[in-house]
Amino acid sequence: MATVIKGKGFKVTIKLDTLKAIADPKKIMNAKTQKDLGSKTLDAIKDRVAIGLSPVKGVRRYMAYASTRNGKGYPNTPDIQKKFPNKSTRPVNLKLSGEFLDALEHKKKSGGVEIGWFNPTRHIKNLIETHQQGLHPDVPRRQVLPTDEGNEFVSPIQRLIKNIVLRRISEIIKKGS
Amino acid sequence: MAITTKKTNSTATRTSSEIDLFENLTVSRATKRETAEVVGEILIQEINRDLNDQKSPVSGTKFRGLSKGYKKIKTGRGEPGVPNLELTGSMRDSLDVRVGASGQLEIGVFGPDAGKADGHNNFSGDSSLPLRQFLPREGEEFRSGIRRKINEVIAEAVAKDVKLPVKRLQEATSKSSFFQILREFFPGMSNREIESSILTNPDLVRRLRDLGLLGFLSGNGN
Repeated sequence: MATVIKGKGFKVTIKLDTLKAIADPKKIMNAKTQKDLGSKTLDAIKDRVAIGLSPVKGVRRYMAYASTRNGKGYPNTPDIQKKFPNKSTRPVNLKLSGEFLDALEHKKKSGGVEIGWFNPTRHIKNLIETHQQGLHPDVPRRQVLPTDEGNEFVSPIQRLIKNIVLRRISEIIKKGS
Repeated sequence: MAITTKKTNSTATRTSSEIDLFENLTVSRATKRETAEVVGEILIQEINRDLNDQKSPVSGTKFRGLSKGYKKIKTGRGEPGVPNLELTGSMRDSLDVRVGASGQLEIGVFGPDAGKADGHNNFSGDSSLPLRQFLPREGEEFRSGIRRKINEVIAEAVAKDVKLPVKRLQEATSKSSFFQILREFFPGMSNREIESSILTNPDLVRRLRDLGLLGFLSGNGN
């Protein structure tokens, strides 16, 4: 059994690939399993980002903010500190108002789930282009989702996804007994 | 299940703990490697989580506060004046895991920041800094919450490779005798860990179903 995770644009899709299971994919990927996959994966992603770690394999800790790297700059600028006095240089958690990560959602998709930013506002799109895609010249890329070709989630998140599916298969076997 | 540190290293480029995840466990080499990789990433995550909270992932206790002088240095640079073991962040960026061919796990700080890591962990015995330990010494373990997460992963590894003999399983006449038998193959693990891990192996669940033993599983296993 393989769980396939494909990323593109602002989203990743998680679905089952070839199955050596006793039930058809639709029975395995029922509404509850899709909800679990979506919500638990999203929780794991946000948990990791909150610690300052990327959920993308091979990236690990996010690069420090400008203030640490350059001795000045974000988030220790007067305007940021006035509006968000609790925003610290550490951890690098991509959170100021919270709207960037709050806009990350999951949705059911045929045979799986999608996780990403759906219909982002202009402001959120700017943040996605900055953090997720690394398109801002002065800001290091800080990936949240494995959307590039060859990208994967870190192994604990891959394990989480795999286990949700395996437990669902086990549940089907148990119910059939 | 005890997961103790077998050896520590303290050199100019390596401050690390070597941990045996699979003592007395029957797991294939490939599964050991795969499991050690997952455990390694979990340890990186949990060590970083605890350091953000200014506490030791070994003892679980909060770190001693910074000296007045060092706090002034940190805050003068716009960094929080708390013992999170980072000024520039280079040492914590260098926290890494190495997995050997047979699944041996080594976690530590490798490269030029190894000395800073020894300053906090004092594996060398030469550090004059207050102890702010984030790597376990020989014979030590990570705190219980972290161990629990690791144990779940290891139990799944055992469940993946275990070969449960039919004749032995057929001797189970009650839930307690069933788990007593299973503990021979999942040594040191709780019933909850065993059951939860079994549910991640549908082939095993199918085998137990065919033997009429599924009734001994509580049904949640989460």
